[in-house]
Amino acid sequence: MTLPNSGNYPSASRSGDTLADLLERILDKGIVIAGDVVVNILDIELLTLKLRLLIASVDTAKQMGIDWWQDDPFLSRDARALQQENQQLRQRVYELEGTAQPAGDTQPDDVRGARE
Amino acid sequence: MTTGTGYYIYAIGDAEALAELDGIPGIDDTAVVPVTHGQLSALTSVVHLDSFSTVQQATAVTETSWLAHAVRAHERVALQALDRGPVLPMRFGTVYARGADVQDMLRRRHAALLAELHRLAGATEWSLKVRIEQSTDQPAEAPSAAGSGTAWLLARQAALQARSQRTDRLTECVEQVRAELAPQVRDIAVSRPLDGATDTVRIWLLADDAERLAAALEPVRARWSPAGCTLELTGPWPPYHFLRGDALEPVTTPTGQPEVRP
Repeated sequence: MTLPNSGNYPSASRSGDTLADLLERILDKGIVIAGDVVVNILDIELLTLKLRLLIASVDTAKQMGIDWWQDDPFLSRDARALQQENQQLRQRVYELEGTAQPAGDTQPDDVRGARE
Repeated sequence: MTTGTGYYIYAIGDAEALAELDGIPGIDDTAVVPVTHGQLSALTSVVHLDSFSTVQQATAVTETSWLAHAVRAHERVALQALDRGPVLPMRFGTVYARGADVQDMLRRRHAALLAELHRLAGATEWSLKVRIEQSTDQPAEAPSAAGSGTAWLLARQAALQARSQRTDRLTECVEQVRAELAPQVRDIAVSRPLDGATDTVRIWLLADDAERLAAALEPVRARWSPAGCTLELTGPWPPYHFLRGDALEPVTTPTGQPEVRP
């Protein structure tokens, strides 16, 4: 069989393929011989999903809108400052209205924020 | 837990060209053995099935994990095959119970596999990573330390708007790059990254002439670079994204027995 060789290219452009790049390129691609008796060792769909979750970086998650930690008082200084400000404003409203702050209104987060 | 061993398949190609690869290291550094029928060979090696079971239970995929090693071995073998001629890369994780089963598969699908190999002859796959940079003139996403709620909301709104504009610009860039490169290549496919990143899109190109592709890319790159759109071309790769599944569907005779496709 005479088929043209397809490999006459510099290999330098192949360098720098990260694991994520590689998985993206080959993981659920390539020939699947349908209907043959193959030892079914990998649930590729499951694995792909798993990898998708695992290789998602913090930056990526942030871009996807998964940025809950920005509002978590434990993880974000800005959120803590906002919690504190919120608490002070609420206190001021109660003072102006001349009513005492209801006991149940003080959330654990508020307390934590006020102590910072 | 799966036990025992099986025949892992990396790629299928011309028997004569792949004969040279007899004995190169595969997964777990086990020697690769070409299994041949007619004009075709499948590059195989014996693997322990329990290694694959472990992958299913893995909690982390790192560069030092067994999966990373196995995937890299798969790709290394497929690339060496590609260096010797057209190749049909198998999907990662294809294992047959016995070497005789691999040979039987080649026999039954000889015509379809050979036709697919001829169809792809002379072409290679290239990856074009299109990424949109974060604009420097946009307000920073982090709110000021002063802690004004209004300022925080405004900054948040501006950041969301900037993100949406970036995504629009990326989509526009991908559409134009695709339209401009289409006449230079045989086929084009587009995919989103596995990790869900919204600032990157992959364009896959099946090209006959790598130099022509690179030359065609230059003006496109020059046009999009000032708009913050970077284009990174890598390859040549085995044609993972351009294999035609229909040639490989199961074929059965009226008696229900699989047979070589006419």
